[in-house]
Amino acid sequence: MSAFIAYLLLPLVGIGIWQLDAVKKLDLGGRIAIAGAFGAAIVVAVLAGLSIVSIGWSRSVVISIVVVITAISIYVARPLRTREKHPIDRGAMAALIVIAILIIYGLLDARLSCGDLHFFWGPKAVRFYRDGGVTLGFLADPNTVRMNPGYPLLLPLLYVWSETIARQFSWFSAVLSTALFLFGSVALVRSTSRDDRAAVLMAATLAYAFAIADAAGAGEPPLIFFETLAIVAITFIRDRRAQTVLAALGLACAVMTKIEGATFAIAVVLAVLIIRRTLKQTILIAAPAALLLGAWLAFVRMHDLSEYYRGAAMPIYFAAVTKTLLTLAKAASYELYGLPWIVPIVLIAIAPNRRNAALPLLIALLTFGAAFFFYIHLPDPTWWILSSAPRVLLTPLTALVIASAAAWRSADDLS
Amino acid sequence: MYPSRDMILLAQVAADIVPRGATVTAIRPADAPDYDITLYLTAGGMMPRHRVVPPNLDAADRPQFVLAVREPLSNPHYRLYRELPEGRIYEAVK
Repeated sequence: MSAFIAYLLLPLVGIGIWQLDAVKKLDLGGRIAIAGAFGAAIVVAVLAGLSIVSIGWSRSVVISIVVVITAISIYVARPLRTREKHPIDRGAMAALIVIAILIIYGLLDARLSCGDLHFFWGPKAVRFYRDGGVTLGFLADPNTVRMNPGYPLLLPLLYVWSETIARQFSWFSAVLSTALFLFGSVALVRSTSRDDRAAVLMAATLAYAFAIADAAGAGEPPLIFFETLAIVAITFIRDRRAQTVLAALGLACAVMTKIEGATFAIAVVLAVLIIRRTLKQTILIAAPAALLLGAWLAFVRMHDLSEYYRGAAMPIYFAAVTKTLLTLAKAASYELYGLPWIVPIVLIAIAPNRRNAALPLLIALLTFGAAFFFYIHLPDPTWWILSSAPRVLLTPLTALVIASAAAWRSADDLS
Repeated sequence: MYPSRDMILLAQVAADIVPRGATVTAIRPADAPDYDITLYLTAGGMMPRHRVVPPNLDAADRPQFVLAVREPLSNPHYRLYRELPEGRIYEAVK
């Protein structure tokens, strides 16, 4: 239980981000989700920082630092109460509760668990915790080359935070944290779009797609959460400073969660440049992510760790294009005739403000295209696509659902 | 059922039986010689106090213990150490 409580504490650690006026204007669900993202970034930064300066992760050291940061965070966030209230659609709330019950049931009986949790996300966290830090000895060990030592470390370090509180790794808490990331994403969409029905669509789409993709405990739930934060910030938030800070936070966390986070960051940069044509803001949004990823890649390269970031430089197999497209289409159908895609596309097509959907829609197109581009780097990618595409395509699917919400909002109705 | 599910159960029990610090690998013997690497990765998360290594059973520095799910292991370098409802543990012949 305490292992799961560790995740629930993250919003408290990151509550300092409520200092932003635009965040204060959001409803409680959205504010908690944003504080959770910031709290996750803080906790991971503390653990990584301690490893960088070669201080072991003793429970007292880690918790003391986090408690001090939390106290400062609460102080700067005052006043914690706001008068902002949004009308609640009771039917939508009932639908969200039903979806929550279904997904939590699926998570708790472990049938949605991702193999990758057992193959490397979990084992990495277990070893890091046992070693009292991220050790080069473990990452560079030839025996761990199959555990993707070049993968960024945010998720294993979040799991280490949970272990630090509970004194042991809890597989079920790791699986159940998926529900927090999922409904954190839903809260972000609901709060920033002020559209309860959009939140229901987001919840239904993600819960169903997570179930089909067996994503629980893997990198995708946090990745989608951070990506959602970045997309809704640049799509729905009016205040330029808050937009930049929250998008930068989302991108930085996304690139440090999964290798696909880097592709997403590039897609966001291109989309903002093309649609908004604001070079300065684009640089500010992308800078933290670029710095963190650059530092991580320098570390990986310096120690010759196994990594897959250079996949784009591998030869392309044009003969595999047709097969890749067909297999990708099969995976993208999510065993429901592609309904998760069709619904938001139809919503965009009949929406009154389609132009508002341009930015998230372009992100969806770019990330879908990137997935296809990487898959044609194998002569026969069938197995690779079928085993990974339902998870990889969650990113364009999420962006598409957010685009459908944006298309139904007028430009003067931003948060 | 995936064999990795069986390995989760076997590795959990084996963690208290196999001496701490020993090198261990995890296999399904029927997969020989192309063992499914996900089984030893899974065991790695379940046995943090052991050194879980890839399944190179015929190498000079072969693992001291082998966790085997489903079928029995037939390898001259190993003998049965413990038979459990979840699977078998083999020890390297010295």
